[in-house]
Amino acid sequence: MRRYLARRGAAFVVTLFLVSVLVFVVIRVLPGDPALLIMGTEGSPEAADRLRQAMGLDRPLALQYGRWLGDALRGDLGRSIQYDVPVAGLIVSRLPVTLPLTLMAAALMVLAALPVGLYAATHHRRAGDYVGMVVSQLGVSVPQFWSGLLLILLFSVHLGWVRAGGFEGWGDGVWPGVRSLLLPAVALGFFQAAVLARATRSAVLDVLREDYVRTARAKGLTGGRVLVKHALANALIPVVTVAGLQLGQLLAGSIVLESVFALPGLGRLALGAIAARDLPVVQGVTLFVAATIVLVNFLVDLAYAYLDPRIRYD
Amino acid sequence: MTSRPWRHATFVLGGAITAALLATAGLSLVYTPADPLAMSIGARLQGPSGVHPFGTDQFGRDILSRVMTGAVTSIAVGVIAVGIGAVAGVLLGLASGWLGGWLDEAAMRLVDAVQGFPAILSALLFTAVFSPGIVVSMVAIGIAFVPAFARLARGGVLELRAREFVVAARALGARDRRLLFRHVLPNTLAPLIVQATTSFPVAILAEAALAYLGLGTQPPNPSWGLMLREAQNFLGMNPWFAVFPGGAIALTVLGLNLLGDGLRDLLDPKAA
Amino acid sequence: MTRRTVLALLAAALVAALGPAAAHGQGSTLVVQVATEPPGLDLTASPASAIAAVVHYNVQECLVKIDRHGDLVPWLAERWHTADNKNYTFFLKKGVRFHNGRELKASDVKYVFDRAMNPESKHPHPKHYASIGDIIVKDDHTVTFALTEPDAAFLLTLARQGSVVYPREAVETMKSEPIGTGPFRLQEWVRGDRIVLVRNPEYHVKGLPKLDRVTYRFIPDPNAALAALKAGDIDAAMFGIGPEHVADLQKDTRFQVVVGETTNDVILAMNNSRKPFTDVRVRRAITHAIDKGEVVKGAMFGFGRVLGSNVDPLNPYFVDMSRAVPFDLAKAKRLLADAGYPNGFEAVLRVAPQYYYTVRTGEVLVNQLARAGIRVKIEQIEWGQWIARVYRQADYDLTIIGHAEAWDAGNYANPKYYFRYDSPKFQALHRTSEVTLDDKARRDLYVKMQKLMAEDAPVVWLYVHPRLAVTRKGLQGLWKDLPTPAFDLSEVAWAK
Repeated sequence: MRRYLARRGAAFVVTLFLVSVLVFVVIRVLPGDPALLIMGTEGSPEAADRLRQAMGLDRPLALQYGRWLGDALRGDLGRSIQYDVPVAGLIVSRLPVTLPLTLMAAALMVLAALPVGLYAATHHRRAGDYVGMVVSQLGVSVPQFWSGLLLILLFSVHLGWVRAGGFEGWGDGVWPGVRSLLLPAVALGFFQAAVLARATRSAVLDVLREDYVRTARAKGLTGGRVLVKHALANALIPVVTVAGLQLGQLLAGSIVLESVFALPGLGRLALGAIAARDLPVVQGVTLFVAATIVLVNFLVDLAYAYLDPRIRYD
Repeated sequence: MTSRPWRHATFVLGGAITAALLATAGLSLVYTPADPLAMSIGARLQGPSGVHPFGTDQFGRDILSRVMTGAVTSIAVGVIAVGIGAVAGVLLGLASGWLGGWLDEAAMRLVDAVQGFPAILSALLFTAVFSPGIVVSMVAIGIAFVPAFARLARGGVLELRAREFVVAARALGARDRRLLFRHVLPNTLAPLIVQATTSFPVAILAEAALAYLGLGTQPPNPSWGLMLREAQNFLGMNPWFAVFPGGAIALTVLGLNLLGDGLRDLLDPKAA
Repeated sequence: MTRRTVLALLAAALVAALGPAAAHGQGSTLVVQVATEPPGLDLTASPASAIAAVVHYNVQECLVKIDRHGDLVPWLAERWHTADNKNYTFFLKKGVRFHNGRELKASDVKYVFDRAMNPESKHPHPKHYASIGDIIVKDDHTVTFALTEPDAAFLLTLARQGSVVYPREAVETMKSEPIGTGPFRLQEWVRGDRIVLVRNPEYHVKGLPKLDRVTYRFIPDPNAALAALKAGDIDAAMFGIGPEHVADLQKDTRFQVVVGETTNDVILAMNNSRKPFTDVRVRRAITHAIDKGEVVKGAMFGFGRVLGSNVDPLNPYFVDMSRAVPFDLAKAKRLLADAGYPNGFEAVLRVAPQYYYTVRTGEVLVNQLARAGIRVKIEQIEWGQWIARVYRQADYDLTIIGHAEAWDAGNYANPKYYFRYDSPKFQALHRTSEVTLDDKARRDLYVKMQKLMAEDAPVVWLYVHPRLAVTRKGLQGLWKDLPTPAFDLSEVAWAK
């Protein structure tokens, strides 16, 4: 187990390193001269020189990369050109929107997907199964931002129950914040739930076919207990894997939904930075999000190893 | 999905929807009920009617005609993005699996790293340095597909490398390239085709999301995502404006998903 | 607690939470939405109008001020005097204090303008100050500007946003913490969210400002701004509400809509140095082919006044030229044929989606020009790219943009400007107008300039971008028109 962990850990570190290389190559190497890109030709050559110096662009690329990575490891992602404040601070200031949104969507996703998946599996090849699967098939087909728009259309434009966007902040307690994130979390979570529901269904079906479940049933255990004690516990492994991988998708999806609902999260920060040519911010946000997704994938790996006793640790 | 008639039904339904999509896109090249670009300010933001079955947009353009032409954009982005992802991914996977050793290890870590960039994120990264447009979205979405194709191709190689006919061919002095493309690749084809089919709707969804964010297709080129971006400003005045382009996306993706499921059952019985 | 009471409580909570937020107490605070967050707050470093909307007039002020009627009035200088139109002596108001407590002195004025003229300081418009030869401090409250030649625009220059007076010790921190003499002090700037200004209790105008606190919320999305307004989260939306929502809001008794004039002229610029736009017949044909009324209807939902020359209706020398080259498709086609383009031609229209109206207007124009046989393709480019390629290098056929500054006829007298309009006749007229100080003579020159512009059609003047502001009922003292791109809140108050 320890050797396995060490191997996975090493692979994780290498992957993170490659993530940083990818971001660096796109932002600093592909454009040729980022200083000119940032300034347009608005600035004089001297101003461009100053910017190059300030950003360290006059040094060799490898050195630039090393320095950037070193700073990033210490939590220093550079300074925003637009706001003239540290990028890391900007990212932290946007997390209270993006993280709760992602987590609420994940919670809704699990809450919706597990019952549907379980129900479909236990009513295999009956009407409930087919209805559940049709609904989930529709769910994966609907673009999340469109479902967001439709929710606005229904609850805000038509019924007038909630507002069409904006974030009320966590300053006045939990509820105003949760309320602003509710519709986007529904749009994000319910539709991702379809994928998880289908995964749950097939995982539970697989387990139900296993010998020990049949034995347990033969021994007279009732359906409900079998389901909870054996089927669900053993089906957890693939379900956790799928849910974990979806967390990354949810994080990426929240970037889009922040725009639909005008929420001041990481996605809006990045979009604003693109419009303002604020490359350090784009660099910081993409590095942060990609690293988070890689981290989640790594944790899913670990959870997999932990949950599945059959996995070989070589 | 499970029972045979059910599988059959989904496959046929998916095929029918997909065929309808292709027919619509093809038809829009030669015929649309109205000129998708012709404005009529007086008739703006109308709901569905006999003249405009899907209503009109903020310039009085016919939404039905615009939805029809938008299909071409979606299909083009889907095909090219999946193509980029498939070619790059398969080459990487084949090389990685065949060469093995530390190269394999490094390639797989690279694939892990690329997996950290969903299509939206890589599009954000690329549009920061290149102007947003349809080409950037195709490339960004394509890159996001690389990991899946690379893993499949590599898996296929690893499995086949040990098989007898490959070992035999190698012993007989067959060249690597010849072996890879004559023997290994054809044997991995089925899961790759399934992967391509299931990636296609994902690409269409991603393109729509990017266009919606203003990072993809640019006006006046018709794109479903872009239409929804515009429609959001007029939700209170003509809700149908937001309904039809979104419905077109959902229907298309549904058809392709069903087709993909059916195809998986047909080509890859193990996965059923 | 029984299950039923729990349910009842839950339902009550849900209703309370989902129902429209209760209107918060009016007090003397104001929350306004602005669409664009300022890129830093230093007016002497960037010409962005988003900075002026917050800082100019409210935090930092000038020696003279353009008031709500467009008139130039004394401000930090309580009066001035010139005998020869070359030496201007300003007498500063006494007892004016900066937000850091120090009194405004003549030496500050000298420092501010010396710095603006110095190319090292990177002021966005050093050319505005080119006529200033020397600045002499006479005593703490008297300063003389010695011009090298008469400059009819000199006082106007002193009122511009780049001419604000600030204490020299605060120059380094102006990007994030501007200090001035204005009615409000900057309290905090939460990046990406809001800027808070609080009342300056030592303001030099008695009884002002009327508000205790002003919060600017950055909400770039017009729908979100509308939602926030309806929910009572913001009291006013100053520039952010799209014209498509105005009719709806005018019917809503909770709100008042301010529709006024601005100096923001939206134009279709043509590259006069590029074929076929070198030919005045082609430029006039394009003007004839455009139905400006339909443009305003299509792109601006009917808001905005049709224009015929660069001089906007708020300018005292304005003459309505909008019918000089009227919409006339047949004439457009005839002119095109005369110019050798009987079948029209192709052109690329570059627009920056940063400003929504440019894309919308472009879409309508493409459609209209197609009727005259001119096939135009829209190419969207980023704002930075637009500045770099279109504005700096004149690398374009056609473009659409709003020119927000007042008194900017000089752009047409500059053959290097991105229009590349090179008319010696116009340049001579403009040059004379710059050194002509007699009002009547200057007016005659401006009338001649406007006629010549309409005739030469170097660009197509489309419409004046309207001022569309929406506030909750009861807010008083807002400017109706915007003769200068500032947003004066000093006299704004809630009705009692």
